[in-house]
Amino acid sequence: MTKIWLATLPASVLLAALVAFGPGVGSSGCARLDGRSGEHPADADRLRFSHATHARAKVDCVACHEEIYDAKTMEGRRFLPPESKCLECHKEKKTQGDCGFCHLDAQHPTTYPKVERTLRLSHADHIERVKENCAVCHLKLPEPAPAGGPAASTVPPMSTCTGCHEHAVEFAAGACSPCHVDLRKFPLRPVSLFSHQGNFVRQHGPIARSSGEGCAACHDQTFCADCHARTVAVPVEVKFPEQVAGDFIHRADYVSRHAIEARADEGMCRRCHGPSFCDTCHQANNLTPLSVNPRSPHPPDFSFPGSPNSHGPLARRDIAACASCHDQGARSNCVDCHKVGGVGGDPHPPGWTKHHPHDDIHGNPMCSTCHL
Amino acid sequence: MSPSNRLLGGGALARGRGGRGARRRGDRRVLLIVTVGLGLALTVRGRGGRAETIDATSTTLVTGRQDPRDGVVHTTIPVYELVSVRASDFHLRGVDDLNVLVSGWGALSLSDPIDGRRGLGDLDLAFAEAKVLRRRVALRLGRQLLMAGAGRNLAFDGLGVTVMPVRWAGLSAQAGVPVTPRFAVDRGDTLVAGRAFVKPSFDTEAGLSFLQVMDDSQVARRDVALDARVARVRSLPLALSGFALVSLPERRLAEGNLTATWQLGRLFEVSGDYRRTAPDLFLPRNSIFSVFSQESRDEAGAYFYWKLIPRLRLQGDYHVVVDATGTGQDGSLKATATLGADGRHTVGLESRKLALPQTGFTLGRAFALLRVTPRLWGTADASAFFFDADVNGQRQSFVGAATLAYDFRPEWRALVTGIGSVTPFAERRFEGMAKIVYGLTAKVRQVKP
Repeated sequence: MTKIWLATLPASVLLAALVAFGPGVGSSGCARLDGRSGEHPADADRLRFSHATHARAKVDCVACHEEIYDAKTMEGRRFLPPESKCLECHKEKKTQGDCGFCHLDAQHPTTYPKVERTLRLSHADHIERVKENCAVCHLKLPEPAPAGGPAASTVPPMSTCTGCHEHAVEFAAGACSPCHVDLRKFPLRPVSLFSHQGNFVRQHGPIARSSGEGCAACHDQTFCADCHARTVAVPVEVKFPEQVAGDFIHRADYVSRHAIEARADEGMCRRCHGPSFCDTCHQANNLTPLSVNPRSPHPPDFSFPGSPNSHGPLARRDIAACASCHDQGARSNCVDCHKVGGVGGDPHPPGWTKHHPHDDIHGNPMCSTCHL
Repeated sequence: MSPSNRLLGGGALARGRGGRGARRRGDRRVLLIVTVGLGLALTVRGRGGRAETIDATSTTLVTGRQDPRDGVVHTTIPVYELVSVRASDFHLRGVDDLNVLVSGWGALSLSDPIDGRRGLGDLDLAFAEAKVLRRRVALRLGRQLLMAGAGRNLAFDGLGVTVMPVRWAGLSAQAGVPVTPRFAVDRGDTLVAGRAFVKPSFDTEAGLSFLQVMDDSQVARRDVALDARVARVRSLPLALSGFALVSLPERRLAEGNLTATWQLGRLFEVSGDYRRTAPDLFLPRNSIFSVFSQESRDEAGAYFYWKLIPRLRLQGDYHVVVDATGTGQDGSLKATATLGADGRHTVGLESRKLALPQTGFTLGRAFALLRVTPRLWGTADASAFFFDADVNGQRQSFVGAATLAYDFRPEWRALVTGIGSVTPFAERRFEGMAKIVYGLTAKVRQVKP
């Protein structure tokens, strides 16, 4: 974990990925999409097109969109008609050199911008159900003719999909993946049914525990790792100092109150912080026997059974706190007194032998530390 | 623990724990590097499959602080670089939703190194994931988090498989090596986990899960868990959830909770819950300390959230804590209001009282977020703690923080933070931090006609 070369690995991965893809961008020779928004660059060429004009000319949808009628999937293919399809009717425009008839920027003509496929959809199945009437779903068709501008989007809204019974069932079940390609890369605003109402930060633990697949439909694990990663660089409170309204656990002076919080709920600490987590800092502050110049943080009568501050009752109640400094296996300082024949006596709680047969001693190295 | 202390403390721990941990870490690095390499190979040279979208986030943090350790004040200046990269939109025949994700960090200490160490880093996540067989089988290989059921948010290096032969039920299984948390010694060589679940609707799910962690051929954890959640009860907005985790070697409940939440739209929410934990069962079963205790701790209480008026939110909770020492109480109240046009400003007050039989504290806190312009904004935060018993001879602690942030370009944010404190462990301390965040989404290929 502590090798310096590993420290540079994330940055190296980023660089490797970007370098690897760099030539791909340059060599394609295509107008690159705007990386931020995914939109076509404002100054790039676009195609003039009007469905309304074609509808008035009695051109059936299938005349241009023949392929989509039989398409069972939208992935990996493009279904907008190629230039040759346009030229079946408008060949004279190209012959005359009237590129501006179709291209907004006739000096730098390009093709359609790539449209990212965000849905899994079988047009073939739908065409039969709507009796080849595309306007049943594409409600904007035929769209008003734009005044010399690019074609307007005719993508149906989601409500069109959920209007059918089977989609309503999928929607209610939160089963997004049958239709949506991958929700995690879109800046989603949860629709009402799935919105995170109230103080969702407080509720999210139990929900994630039993509905992890539902969370994963929209959230990458990096979303969880921001707060829950075990190999964290800095605590989330340090990473996001600007989020003052957030309910962060270790906000402000946690060092001073950490012992009180641990006493209130040791299990809460243990869910994230494994054994020896405490030891790291306590060693640096000379609070453990392994420190360079150890000093005991315990009261003077801590070692004496029956004294007001005796370690026995404390250990029985909160053994995890003891383990946070003293868990050195066979070298743990409890062994000296509590091993068989030692002055500390039997440390096992009542009922121990009910679940741990005496034969365990021979098969478990941990037992043999005291049971010589 | 301060970030700088963590930074340097990790090295001290690695040194102190000797060769076994170092050998394991070495083995795991090999596994991790192989996984990341596989992912990169897929990303860069995938046969017919090449990512068309790269999402990357980079965060650079520079902090400087005075760090008191054992009576000596050290000045530490670590620099952190946090990077997250996600490659997606692969097109491979028979493989759906293929993603490669790497999230990690590196740190460099600009102040004097301790024990000769100036830098370190780690990977939080690094995996390739995909779905096959018409998305009925999901595979994930690499460093990942195990959230559901008995996993209790465990990180591991290995393979996770989820099979959903039908939409309402499935089976998941994981196998690998537990990740050693930072500042901790590894407590596991192998991990095997599984969960069978039914999911009749989006908000109703139940699962039975199992987890086993072996350490040096000894059982460190062997747990079974039952989890369930129902979000609507007879068309009422009432959510019921429960979880029970039993340690098989001890045949005892390690953790159990029951929660009922009633939610009235976005305006009001109230919940009641009961939780039992056995702190000793959070220790590995092969720890010698696991033989000392069988105590449990109970907690019961209620929580509410109320959007009193559109610009004012209240939330509070109260819990009774019962353990072998007696009965304690934990309560808090928080009010958050938005001010100005479009609610651009946020102010809030918070208070908490934790009263245990022998100790406790009271918190008073005020915070504000003020947006000067849509791009320029600042925050202020002040906390005061009053302890019931002496903490290092003191009864009070005060911390104040202020942040100025500027979103100077789309996807770019720069901010500076100053924190001043008077605490039981530092008479006066000041720390500063500068942060730059950059998010990038690149569409790296366009389909030619």
